[in-house]
Amino acid sequence: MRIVIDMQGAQTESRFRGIGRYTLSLTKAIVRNRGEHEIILVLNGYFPDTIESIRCEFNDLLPQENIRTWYALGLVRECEPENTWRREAAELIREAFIASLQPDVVHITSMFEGFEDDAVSSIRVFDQKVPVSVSLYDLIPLLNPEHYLKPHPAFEQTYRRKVNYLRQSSLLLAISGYARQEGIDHLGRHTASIVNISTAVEEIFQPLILSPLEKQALWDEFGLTRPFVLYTGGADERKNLPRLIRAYAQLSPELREAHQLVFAGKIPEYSIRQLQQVAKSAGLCSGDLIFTGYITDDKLVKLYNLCKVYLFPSWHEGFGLPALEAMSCGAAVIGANTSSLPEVIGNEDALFDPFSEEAIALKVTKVLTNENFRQSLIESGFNQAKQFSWDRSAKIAISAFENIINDKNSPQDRLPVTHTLSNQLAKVIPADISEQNLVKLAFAIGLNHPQTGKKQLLIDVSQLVQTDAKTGVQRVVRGLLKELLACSNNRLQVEPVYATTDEGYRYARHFNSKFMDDYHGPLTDEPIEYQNGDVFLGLDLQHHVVSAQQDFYQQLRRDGVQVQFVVYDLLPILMPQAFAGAFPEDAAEMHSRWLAIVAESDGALCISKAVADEVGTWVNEHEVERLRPFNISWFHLGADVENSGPTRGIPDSADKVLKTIEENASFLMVGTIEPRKGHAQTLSAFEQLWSEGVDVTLVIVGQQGWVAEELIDKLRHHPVLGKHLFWLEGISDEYLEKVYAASTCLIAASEGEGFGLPLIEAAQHKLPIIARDIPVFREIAGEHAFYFDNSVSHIVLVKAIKNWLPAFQSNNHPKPGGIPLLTWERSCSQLLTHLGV
Amino acid sequence: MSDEFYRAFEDRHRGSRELIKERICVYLPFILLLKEIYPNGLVLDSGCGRGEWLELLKENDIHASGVDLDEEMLSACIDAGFDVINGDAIDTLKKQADESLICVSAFHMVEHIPFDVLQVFVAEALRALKPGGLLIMETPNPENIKVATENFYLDPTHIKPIPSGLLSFLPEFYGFERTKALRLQENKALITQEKISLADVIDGASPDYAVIAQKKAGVDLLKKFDDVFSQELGLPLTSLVNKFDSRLLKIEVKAGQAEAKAGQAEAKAGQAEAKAEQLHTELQDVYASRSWRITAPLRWFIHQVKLLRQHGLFSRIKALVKKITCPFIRRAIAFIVSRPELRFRLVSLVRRLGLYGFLKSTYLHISRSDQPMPPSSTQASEAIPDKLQSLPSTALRIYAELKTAVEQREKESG
Repeated sequence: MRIVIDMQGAQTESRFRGIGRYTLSLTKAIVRNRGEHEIILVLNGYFPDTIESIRCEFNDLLPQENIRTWYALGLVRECEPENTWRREAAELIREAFIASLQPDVVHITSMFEGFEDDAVSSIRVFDQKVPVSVSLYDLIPLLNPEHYLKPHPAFEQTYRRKVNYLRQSSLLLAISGYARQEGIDHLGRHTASIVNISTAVEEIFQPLILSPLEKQALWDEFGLTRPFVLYTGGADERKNLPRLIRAYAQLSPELREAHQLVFAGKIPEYSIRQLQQVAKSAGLCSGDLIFTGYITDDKLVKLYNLCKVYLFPSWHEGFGLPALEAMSCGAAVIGANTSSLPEVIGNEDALFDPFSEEAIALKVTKVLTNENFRQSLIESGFNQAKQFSWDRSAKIAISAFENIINDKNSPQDRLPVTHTLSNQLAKVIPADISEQNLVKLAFAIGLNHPQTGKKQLLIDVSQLVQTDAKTGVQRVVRGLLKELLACSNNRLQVEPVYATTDEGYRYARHFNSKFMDDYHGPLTDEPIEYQNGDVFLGLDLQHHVVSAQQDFYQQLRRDGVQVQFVVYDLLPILMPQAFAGAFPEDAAEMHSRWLAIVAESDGALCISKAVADEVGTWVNEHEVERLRPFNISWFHLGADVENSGPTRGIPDSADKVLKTIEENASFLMVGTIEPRKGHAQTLSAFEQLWSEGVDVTLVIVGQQGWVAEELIDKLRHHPVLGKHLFWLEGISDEYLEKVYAASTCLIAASEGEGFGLPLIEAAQHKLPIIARDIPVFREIAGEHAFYFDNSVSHIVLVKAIKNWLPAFQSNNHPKPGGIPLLTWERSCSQLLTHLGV
Repeated sequence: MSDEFYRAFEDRHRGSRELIKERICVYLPFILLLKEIYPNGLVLDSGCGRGEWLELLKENDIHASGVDLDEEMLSACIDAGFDVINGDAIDTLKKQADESLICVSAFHMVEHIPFDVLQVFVAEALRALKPGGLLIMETPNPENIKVATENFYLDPTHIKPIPSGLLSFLPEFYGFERTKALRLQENKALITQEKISLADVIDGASPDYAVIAQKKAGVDLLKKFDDVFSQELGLPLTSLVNKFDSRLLKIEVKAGQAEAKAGQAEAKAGQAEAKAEQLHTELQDVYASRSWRITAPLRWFIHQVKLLRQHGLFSRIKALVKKITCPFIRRAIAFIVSRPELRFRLVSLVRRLGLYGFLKSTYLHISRSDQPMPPSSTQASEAIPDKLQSLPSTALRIYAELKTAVEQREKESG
């Protein structure tokens, strides 16, 4: 059985109140107790802030794919008459969306939303088949129209329309036996189709052992000076608070002087003034009453634990949750003998007539003066509270669902839902709808019913689409992209996508047709379409685009798309001095901003464990606004050059150069010439070796990077250039291969790297390695390289080479053969594993 | 190049005398205003050619001289008795006294002279003009793609096309008070035409334009020219391109609608096929049964058909009832809403309750404003694209479906 639960009760203003809590607690319990049944939660996309928190609440309970978001055209709140057609449209759209999920039963956690907020609830305006169940909390406005409806005609209309929906529902899940009876009496329900599933309290409501210090802190905070009588809850009419105050005033002066009456929780300022007036007229002093204002659950639990008696005089409740909370905390509870309270409190001795001040005063006096009576209340209340549990409620709810489902084999409508929907919508859309609104409406419906078919892996190539910057990152992007695109199969569609700083993501079809020789797909770069369960991979590094699309990544996550970014390194942040002057902008700041956006996503896929550790540290040290866990994983890059689109070309002079390299003990450095790569230190070391008459050759391969003018100048005019020193600037991959083959040893002198591709390439050529002792090189080369201390002194390197040379001659140097080599294909499959694709 | 060749070429391509005179009428309102201020003022037409402009000025009783290098062309002017000089336009202009002219005109001359000479020409014109005097320079409009790529080069003595931005800037730079660019000679029908073809985009923009620059003068004098300087003439390329683009988009939407209709038809056909197949299978079952039982399945089949009919009829009646009642109920609700009675009831209730009702609403108001701000749902709706171009393909199809459905409804209802 597939149960779809409409979670709007936890999205609107109700999320701050009992209904929101009830929705979350019951739904969680249903999910926990679902057994073989499938549960799908549906959320209204117009409450973006609530979606992430609800997803987070269910993170360990339910696959994220089972949480779905739908959109309509806002605004739809019913208190504004101009919204009427949009509300009617939204009702159709919501029901069509739910119908497209093909549920066996739909449960609506709160029917009475949508008057002052943009929630939408309806029954049978689009879908005529699937049984719909609704939570029934109470019918208080219906039964007390003079107080709750007549003064608000617009609300009355909404309320009565929704009461009719209740009448049309297939099942009502009442929160108490009393609420169930109201449903039977006033909604004309058959007893079979209305079930009392009761309610329960959250686990935090339990007896506590409080230290004297904690007690004192609480007393000080709220101005408590004497043992107290507690009330918590709202202040509307039925809560009966003026009568409570007058009853309290009837207590004997001794009792009053020995106690205080505490109103915990938020009560509007106006009501407080009104209640204080009542107290004054009844002859109470100002210290007799305490209003705490809004308090946290944590403190509420403490108050329940500390109060001498909890008093609940409300004459009409759907359930009366505060009473149960207090009982669960081991408080002595007395309450009204009307509506649902007798069934909740479960002890006739604890009840009083809420309409009689004398009765209330009498009961309070009894409990305050008779300790035996008080203890019996605590005991009976605590035992009674054990009768209520969310798991029990959920199990009753699930079996009620099982009893109402229709014949499962009812044939599905072969017309697509959207087609029928369009025709239905045409009946409510005004003739003069603006073009813009029609477009927005179509867009929203499109989000609800994407026709992408297969699961998509959307790969951001925003930089590569613009220009191939030919940097290390771009080489990796090309290498991985090629493998990823080859992963499309009948269940997965891999699509390169791109955005700009001004425009949203589009499919990079044009690019794809040039990038892949055998591309046969469409050629237009349409705006992307995505569906629940898709994966977005930020493969390319484009700081500005990521900044501009920050909100969109969150939108994707709200709509059930997993978003992860590849992180190449944190060097601009960790070694800002090495990037000083490299970019027009502050590289550290730019990269931090980018990383902060990455940290809001579902995960970072780092190109080495070393980078993953750095990301972990960074995330711990920075405040990132996120609720669901951040997944930091790592993979290694491929080394097969032929699969990353290598460049070709060998100059005429190459033969002579290669011959010299081959005939000498040649040490090779590969990488852009920029401060952090350690060229200056290495050159100094070799100058020392040359001056001592050691016969070694240094080969530097790499283009001039930033802030290297001094070193470049030195290289260009070096006295041994062409003899013991070679600088091969901007050579092709093909030429580089030959240089690797001709050299004796690789020197990896860089002070910081995300990965260190030259080590891998050297290992492919069985070229021994002398490397700086930094974590990422240890990670890649392990025991298969010769390390020198991470120091800027050239002496360290001189010593290392002097030690290495005899070891090499006697063949006792670390051999690179043990370094694990990955192909791009393997690299890509590591990546996909982390993405769960 | 011989003068004869050029005149023959001019004759073929510049159009008849009458046609030209009609075209240059656009400048008359400017000149007539000048004449009001300077009744005896003099106009110098540089590159006067066959003298169409001189003739028009003479007809309006305005003194004018012309200057042209081409002796052959001038002969027509001399025959007509116009005051013309055979010589270089710049040299002639240089010889004019300061503040001696009310207008310097140059029709299709600036594209014949090097840019540095043009700069001298503009500077000299400024010197020779009286306060409020006008410099008129007409030239081919390179904004017209056909002109810029082909027609301009038909005249071998043309140097290079001058965009209006450049030609407008020159007088401003040399100190004229204001300049105005007028697009000219376009096909007037195109201005209002909605259906623009690609050919129109290529050759439809105004093929010529003129820059009119006015020299500094007193506020009162300049004010008289405000109207003529504020008029907008001609057909810019952007207007054609926009119309063309929106037409493409409409075509795209129509194609989408057609596709949606086709999809609908296909789905319906699919349903019909499935039904037919089902019936066929049922029939097959009947045929396959053993002959001694033949009566039983036959009976069963007849029963099925009956049921199907009953069921069909029933649901049709249901649908009919619904079709009639639904709009009725909806209208009834709307009727109740729009009735003042509810409002009246509320008012009388408040009266009955006196202050209480007022306090109640105040209380409600306060309790509402005390609560945390609701999440902003406008924020979410702002992120929704409102342009057709930004719709993904499914949304585009839904858009077409919706549009079709709304149009269909409108058609049926009216």
